[in-house]
Amino acid sequence: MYGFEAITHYNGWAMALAGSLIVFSGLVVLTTVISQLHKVLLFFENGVASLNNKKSSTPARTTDTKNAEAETLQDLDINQIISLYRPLADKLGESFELTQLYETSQSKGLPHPHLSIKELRQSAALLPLGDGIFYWNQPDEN
Amino acid sequence: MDLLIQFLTNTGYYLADYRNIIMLFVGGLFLYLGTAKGYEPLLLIPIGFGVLVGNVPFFKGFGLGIYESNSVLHYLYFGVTTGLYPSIVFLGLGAMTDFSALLARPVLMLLGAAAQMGIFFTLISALALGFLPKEAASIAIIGGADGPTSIFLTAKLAPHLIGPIAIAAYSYMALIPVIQPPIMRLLTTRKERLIRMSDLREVSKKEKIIFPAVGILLCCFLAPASIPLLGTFFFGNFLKECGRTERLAQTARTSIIDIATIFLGFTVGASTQGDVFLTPKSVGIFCLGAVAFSIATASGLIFAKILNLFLKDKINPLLGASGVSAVPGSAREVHLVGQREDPTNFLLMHAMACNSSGVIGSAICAGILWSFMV
Repeated sequence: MYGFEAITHYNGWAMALAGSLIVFSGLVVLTTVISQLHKVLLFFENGVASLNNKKSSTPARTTDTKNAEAETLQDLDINQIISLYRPLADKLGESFELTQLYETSQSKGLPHPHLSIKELRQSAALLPLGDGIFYWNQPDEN
Repeated sequence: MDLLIQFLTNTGYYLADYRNIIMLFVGGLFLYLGTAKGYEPLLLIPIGFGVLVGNVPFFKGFGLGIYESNSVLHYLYFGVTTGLYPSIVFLGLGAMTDFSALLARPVLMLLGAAAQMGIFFTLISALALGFLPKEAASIAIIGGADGPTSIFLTAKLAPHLIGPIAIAAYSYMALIPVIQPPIMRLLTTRKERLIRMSDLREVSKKEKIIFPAVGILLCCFLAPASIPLLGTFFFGNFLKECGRTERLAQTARTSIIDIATIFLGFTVGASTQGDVFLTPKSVGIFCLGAVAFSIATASGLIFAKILNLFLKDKINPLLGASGVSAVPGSAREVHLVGQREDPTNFLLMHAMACNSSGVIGSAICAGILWSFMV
């Protein structure tokens, strides 16, 4: 049996339609869930934080609340980013790898290290020496 | 003298069949592509060598061939026919996969879903060409561009087609640099190829830990037949992300996946004995495989363009092509095509997100097709 006759006989149309709808709906559900995951986590973190606040008057500062705070710092202009990152670069010496700067900035809890480093690259505050090594290109008065 | 004649009639030279010779050339071609050209060497070299081994003519009944029940090759092939090797490969894949980009931009998962349309189009085409439903489903899964998934489903539904389907799936995976770029250029404009993806938000460790648990529950509740693949895949990813089992994750993504890949490739190659492999059906499978892979690529691209009609933050439609689950070949190709237009445009991370969702999508499709055929 061949052609449309075979497709209809073996229920091919229904299998193809149902199959594609199932896989699509399954991944849409997964997409929806994971798109809300960080919000749910933040909600729980905030809940725990506020409970802790009630228990002790000192404010609790969790990693995710720090992240939330970090998001508000996204609008820092390049000069502010430079002022935040220059001390870190100074500590790393005259030349360093970007991963070192990234790790240091992460350990200091600076907001969006990869975005900030990208900004620094684009503003020529960080310049390449080759072989993945960079140096700080800002005079001290910056 | 009789002894000598008897010996000579039992040698490979005497028993050689034109089909063995053709397959020996195919095996040689795979070895050449893998070694000299560097096309998917980790796959093509074990398969190519397996093809050579499987096509050495031998005296039947000595327990030498892969289809003879007491042969060593037959025992090794057990991992293919039961779906064991694909499950183990998925464990290693899970332990290698970083879902950060996908978690940061979940909409990219839809491209992985769209690219699975090639599977269902091929299902219909294979039925129209006269293949039985179980055979058609096994052929269709080639459109997922996922070797282990294709082998797994074929082992369950049409074990007699494992050889041609596995060879077709892996061949097309190796030929990604040849097949995908023309389709990408045909279906996208230069302006679209130049679209830059916005920076991804930082994903917390907790999200990465929770994702495999959520993923396994949502996907396998929907298609329980995909448990053997997705169960190990998400388990491997959990080992990687939980932060307590780095040693196990390291073993899964190195030694374990390497061992499974060696035996999987070698035995699949050895299963292509000329007399079993070279049939009109194999030709049909190869043609349908090419169609499946091309349609999967095209549907991902077209869906990305459709998504852009609704999204404020546009996505580069090239990413749609990486919705097939050929990890990381198609992501790499998308990145390269993007860079040919603009060398400062880095699409790799975003393409890997689509790629990993393609792995999940094709495993779900395998589960769905299997359950349709039961």
